[in-house]
Amino acid sequence: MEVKILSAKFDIENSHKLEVAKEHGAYATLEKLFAMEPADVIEEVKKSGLRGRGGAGFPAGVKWSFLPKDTGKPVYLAVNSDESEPATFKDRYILVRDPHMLIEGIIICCYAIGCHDTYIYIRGEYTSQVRILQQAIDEAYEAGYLGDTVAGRDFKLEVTVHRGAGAYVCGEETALLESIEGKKGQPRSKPPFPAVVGLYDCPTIINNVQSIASLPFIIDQGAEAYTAYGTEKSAGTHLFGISGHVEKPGMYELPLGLPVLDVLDKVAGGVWKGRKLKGVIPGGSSTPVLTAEEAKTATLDYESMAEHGTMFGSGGIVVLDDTVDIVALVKNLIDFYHHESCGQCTPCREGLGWMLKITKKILAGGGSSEDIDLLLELCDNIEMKTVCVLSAACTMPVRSYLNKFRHEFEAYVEKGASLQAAGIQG
Amino acid sequence: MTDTIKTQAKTLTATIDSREVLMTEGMTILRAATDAGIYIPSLCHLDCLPDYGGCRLCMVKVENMRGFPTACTTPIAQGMQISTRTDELQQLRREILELLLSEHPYTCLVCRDKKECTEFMHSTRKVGTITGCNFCPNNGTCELQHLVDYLELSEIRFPIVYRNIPPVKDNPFYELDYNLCILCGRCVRICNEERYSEVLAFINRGNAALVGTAFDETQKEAGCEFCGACIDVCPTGSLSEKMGKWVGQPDSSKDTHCSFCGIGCRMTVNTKGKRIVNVGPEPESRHNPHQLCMRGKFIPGDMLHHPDRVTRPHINRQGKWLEVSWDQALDVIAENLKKCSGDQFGLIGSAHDSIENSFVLQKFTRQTMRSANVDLSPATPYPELIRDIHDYYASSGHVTINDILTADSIHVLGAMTQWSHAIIENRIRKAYKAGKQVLVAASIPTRTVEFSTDYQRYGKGCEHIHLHRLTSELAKEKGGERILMIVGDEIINSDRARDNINNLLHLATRSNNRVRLLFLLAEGNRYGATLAGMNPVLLPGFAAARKKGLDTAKMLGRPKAISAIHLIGDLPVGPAIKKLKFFVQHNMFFTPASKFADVFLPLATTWESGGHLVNLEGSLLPLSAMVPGEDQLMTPAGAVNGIAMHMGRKVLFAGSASNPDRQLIPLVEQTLTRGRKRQTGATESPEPRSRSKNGRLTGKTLQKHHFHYLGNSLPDLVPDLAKVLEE
Ligand SMILES: Cc1cc2nc3c(=O)[nH]c(=O)nc-3n(C[C@H](O)[C@H](O)[C@H](O)COP(=O)(O)O)c2cc1C
Ligand code: SF4
Ligand code: SF4
Ligand code: FES
Repeated sequence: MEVKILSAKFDIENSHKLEVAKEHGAYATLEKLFAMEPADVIEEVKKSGLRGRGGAGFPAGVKWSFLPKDTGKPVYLAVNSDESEPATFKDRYILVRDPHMLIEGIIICCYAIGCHDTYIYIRGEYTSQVRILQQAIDEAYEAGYLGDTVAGRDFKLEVTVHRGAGAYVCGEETALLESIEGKKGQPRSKPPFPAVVGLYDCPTIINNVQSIASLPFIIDQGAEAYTAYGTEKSAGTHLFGISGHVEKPGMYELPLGLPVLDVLDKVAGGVWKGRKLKGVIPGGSSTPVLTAEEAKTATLDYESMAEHGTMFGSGGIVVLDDTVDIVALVKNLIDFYHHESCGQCTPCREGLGWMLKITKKILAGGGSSEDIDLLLELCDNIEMKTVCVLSAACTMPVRSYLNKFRHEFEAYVEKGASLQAAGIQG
Repeated sequence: MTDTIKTQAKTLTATIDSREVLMTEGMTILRAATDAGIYIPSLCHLDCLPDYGGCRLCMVKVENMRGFPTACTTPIAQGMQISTRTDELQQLRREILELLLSEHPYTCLVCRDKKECTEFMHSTRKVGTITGCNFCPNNGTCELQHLVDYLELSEIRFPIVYRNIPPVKDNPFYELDYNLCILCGRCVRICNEERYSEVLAFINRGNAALVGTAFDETQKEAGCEFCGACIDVCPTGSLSEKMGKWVGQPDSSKDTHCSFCGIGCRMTVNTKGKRIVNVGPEPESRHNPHQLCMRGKFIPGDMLHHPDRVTRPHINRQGKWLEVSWDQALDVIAENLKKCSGDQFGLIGSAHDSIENSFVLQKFTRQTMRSANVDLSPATPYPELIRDIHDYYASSGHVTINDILTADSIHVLGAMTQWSHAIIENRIRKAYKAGKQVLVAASIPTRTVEFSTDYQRYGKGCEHIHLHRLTSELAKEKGGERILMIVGDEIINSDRARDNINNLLHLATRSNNRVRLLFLLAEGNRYGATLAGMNPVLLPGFAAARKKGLDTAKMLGRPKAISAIHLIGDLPVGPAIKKLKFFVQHNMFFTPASKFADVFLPLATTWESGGHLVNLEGSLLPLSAMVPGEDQLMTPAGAVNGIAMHMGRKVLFAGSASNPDRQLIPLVEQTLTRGRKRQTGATESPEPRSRSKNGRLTGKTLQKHHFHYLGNSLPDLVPDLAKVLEE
C-alpha cells in the first residue's frame, strides 16, 4: 500500500546532504520551472488538486491566486513547520531526511507567487531538526540555489529559519506571523486574511512543510502524475503518522483514499496485543473521534472524513484499544489546549479552564450528570466564537467523546470510577 | 473625532435590527450601529485603538454569515442584515460575561442586595486589596457593572477564582491590581499602539495570561513614561490613580484645558467637594484622544491639595511668619509700595497664569505703580520672542500640533519632547510610524531618537552651527516636501536665541510656507501672558512700549537695580532679592525665596479661579475653575486690585477677578485671528546676552523650564516625580 513520492529519499543514507540529494534528483525540476511562466506554475498546482497539509486542506494553488496583484509591496512566504499538534509527526521527517526537497519546493512556490523572502517557522523543540535544516540551507546558498541568482537565473530568494519558543498556537498562521515579527504569538482577527495583509502588513502565503515539499514532484512529473494517486477530491499522497495501540506504529506514506481499517491492519500491523478497537482519532488530536463502528466505513481522505462528521486533519492517526479510559483521555486533551491557549479570547481562556476543572471533578468522582451537560454547553459557547480555531480544536473532539462515549462519563458520575475499573464492558 | 481626510468612500445601505441605515464603506458593524444609535455591548474595543476582537461580547448575527461575527472587527457590507439583540445573542453574551467574571471578584456584581447596598453603604476604598465593588475605586463608573445590568445577569455558575496576585504599588502614581483584570487588552494596546511607550504586554498564555511588563521589570525599568493612558482606558478598577483612591467617588466633573505646558490639552477633571479625585483626558479632544501626560494626569491634585499649601496671608516679623488678615497684609503692602513707585518697582509674573491675571498685573505695574518693569519668570531669552512668533503666525497661518501628522518630514531641533511636550512627542512617534521622515538633532540623545529616521548630535552649545547648516541647505531646495520644524529648548533658550529664531523665521518666510515652524513654548500661557502685556518692551496686543522696562534678568541681575518686587510664584534666589527694600511673594507655598519676602500672599491658581490661555499654536482656550479652593486664597489680579485700593489709587477693575474686563478676551481673540501688521524695522538692536547658562538639555533644564508650576519646582513638591525623572 505504501508509496514513495515524498519519502523517496528517506531511506538513503545522508540524504540531507546536497551532494547525495542531487545524485537522487534534487533541484532537477528547476530547469523546467524557470522555462514556465509563474501563472502556469500556479495553474499546474491547481490542476494537481494539492490541498494544504497543515490540517485545513485548503487547495494550495487557489490560495496562491488570492494574492492581490501589483500592490507595490513585497510578497512573503512563511513555511509552517511548527508541527505541534499532538499525534502529528510527519513534517519532521522531511526536515531531517530530505530538506532539499523542501528548499526546492520553496523555490517553486516563490517563483510562482513572485516572492523573494521566505521564512521557515520551526517549532522550538525541534533542535536537531533545525540544525540539519540550516545546514541544508547553507549548502543551498553555497551551491547557488538560494541567494541573489537562484540556479544562475535572475531570481533572488532569501530563506530565513525562525525558531519558535514552544507555543502550539504559533502554528496558527496569523500567530505565526506575529511571532516572526517579534511579538507575542497571538492570532489576529480575520479578515483581513494574510494573503492581503500578512507579514509586516504585506501579502503573505502560509503553507505547511509537506504542502511545499509536494511541489517538486508535481512540477517534475506534471499534475496528472499526482492526481493518479488518491481520490477525485483528495489527490496525491500523504505522510501518515500512525501511533497508539498498534503493533507497528510509525510514519508511512500512503495515497489518499485507503480504508482506515485496511491501513490499520495491513500497514500498522493491527491493534496491538490482539485487543479490540475502541476508536480512531483520524488526523491529530483536534479531529473528532471515530468509533470502531464508524471506522469500518471511513476512508483516509477529506470527503469521507467529512461524511463521518470528522476531519482529515494532519495525518496523525491514533488508535485506541478497548482499555482506553475516555474520560482521562478527554482530561489530557483539554489540559493541552487550555495550556496552549494564547489567552486573548474570553471563551477560550476562561472556558477551556472551566472545562478542565469540570472534567477533573468528574474524573475524581465528584461530578454530576449536569456537569456533563455543562461541558456540552461550554463546547457550544466556545466553538467558533473566538478569534482563532484553537478553541474549536478542543471543543470539537471533546463534544465527540461526550456524545459517543457518554456512558463512560456517566460511569464516573455514578460509580466514581472508570467503566473499565467498574468492570462494565463498553 | 480625529481629523479625517475626505475620501470618496462609498455609501452603503444595511439593516440593523430591521432598521435601514446608511453607512460608509470600511466601517465596522459596531461603528455603524453606534452611529445609528444602536447599542452593542463591547469591552475590548475602543475607537482610538486598532480592532482587536478579544472579549467576544459584541458578537452579532448576520444573515448568510457563518457563526457569530464580532461587530467590532467585521466590516459592514452592502445589504447586510444584522441582528444585535436576539435572545440567542443575549444568552451567548451572558455566558461570556459569566466566564469573564469567573476570575473577577464578582460577589457584589450579582448580589441581590446591591441596589440597597449602593444606596446606604459608602464605598470603602481605603483597602489594600479589592474584594468587591464597594471596595473598588471604579465603583459607579465600571463598565462591568453596566454590562451586568444590561444583560440582567443575576447568577454566575462558576465559583470565584481569586488570582491572589499581590497588587503592585511600587510606582509613584498608580496601583495595579491584576486580580480585577479581565484581560481586555486596552491598556496593552494603548501603551504600545497609541503611546508607543511599549511598556505593558501580555505575559504568559492561556489561563495564566496576565498584563505585565517583559521580564518582570518595574514600570519604570520597562520605560514607563507615566502618561496614565492605561488607567484612562481600563474598564475595571484594575488600574487606578493612587491619590484618587483615597478621595472617594467623584460627585462632579468638569472640562478644562491643562496649563502645565504650551499644548493646552483638553481634560476632564473629576472632583468631590473641594478635592480633585482624578484627571482624565477628554475622549473626543482633538489634541489628545484618550491621552494626557504625567503632569496633566497626576500632578494637579497632588499640587493643589499639597499639605504644605499656604492658605493665609503672612507678614514677616524678624524672620518669623505671622498669620494676618488680608486687610492687614494689603495695608502693609500699600504703605511700602507708596514709597517705591516708578522705576524702583518691578513685577514678575508667571507664564502659567491666565490672560486675565496677566492683563491686570501689567496694568497695575504700568498704571498704578507707573513702572515699566514687568516680565515673566523664567523670561524668554529675548523679549520679543513671542511677538516674532505671533507675527510669523499672522503672516503664514497658525501651525498646529496635528500638522506634525500631515507634514512630509519633521525636524525636531534641540527638544526633549518625551518629557517636555509628551503629546507632541506622541505625534512625532505617530508620524514616524506612518513612514514619515523624522530628523532629530540635539546635543544629547533623547528617546525621540528611537522614533527618528536620522539623528545628528551636535556639541553642547553648538546648536546655531547645526541650524545654520540646516537652513542654508534647505534654502537651496526649490519646492519639494512640506517640512515641519519643531523648535525646542536648545534653540529657544539659547544665548543666541534671537539669531537662531530669526534664522528659522527667515527660512520659513522665504520657503513660501513649505517650511513651517512649531515653537515648543514651555508653559501653558506664555503666548497669552505676553499678549496681555506681561513684557517690559511690549504692551498688550504686542504694541511696542514707548517706555522700555527692565526684564526679569535685569531686575534680578544687579542688586539695587530696583527696590521693590511683587512676585507671582517663585524664582531662584539671587543676590538682588536679598537686597530689596520690599518684597511681596504671592504663591502657593513658602519657598527659599520666601525667606526674603516681607509679605506672603496665598495664591488662588487658575485651577481654582479659571480664565483663559493662548497655547503654543496660538489658540485661545478657556480654563474653568475646577475646585473652589480654600476661602482665603486670592488670584493675582484680585490681590493687586486690593493693593491699588489700599494705596488709594484707581481700582483696576470692578467685579470678578476671573473676568476683569469684558473687552479683554474678545480683543485677544481679534488679535489672534487678525494678527498684527508686520512692523519692519521695528526690532531693536539685539539685547546684550544674558548670563544664563541654559541651552543644554539636562535634568536641570527640564526642571527649570518644564517641571515647574508658577516657578515652584514640581519634583520638590512631589518627590515621586523626582524619582521618575532621574535617569
Ligand atoms: C491552533 C492551530 C495550530 C496549527 N498548527 C499548525 C502546525 O503546527 N503546522 C501547520 O502546518 N499548520 C498548523 N495550523 C494550520 C495553519 O493555520 C494553516 O492553516 C496552515 O499552515 C496552512 O498551510 P496549508 O494550507 O499548507 O495547510 C494550525 C492551526 C491552528 C488553528
Ligand atoms: S481562540 Fe484561544 S488561542 Fe485562539 S486567539 Fe482566542 S484565546 Fe487565542
Ligand atoms: S488592566 Fe484593565 S485595561 Fe488592562 S487588560 Fe486588564 S482590564 Fe483591560
Ligand atoms: S468589543 Fe468586539 S470582541 Fe471585544
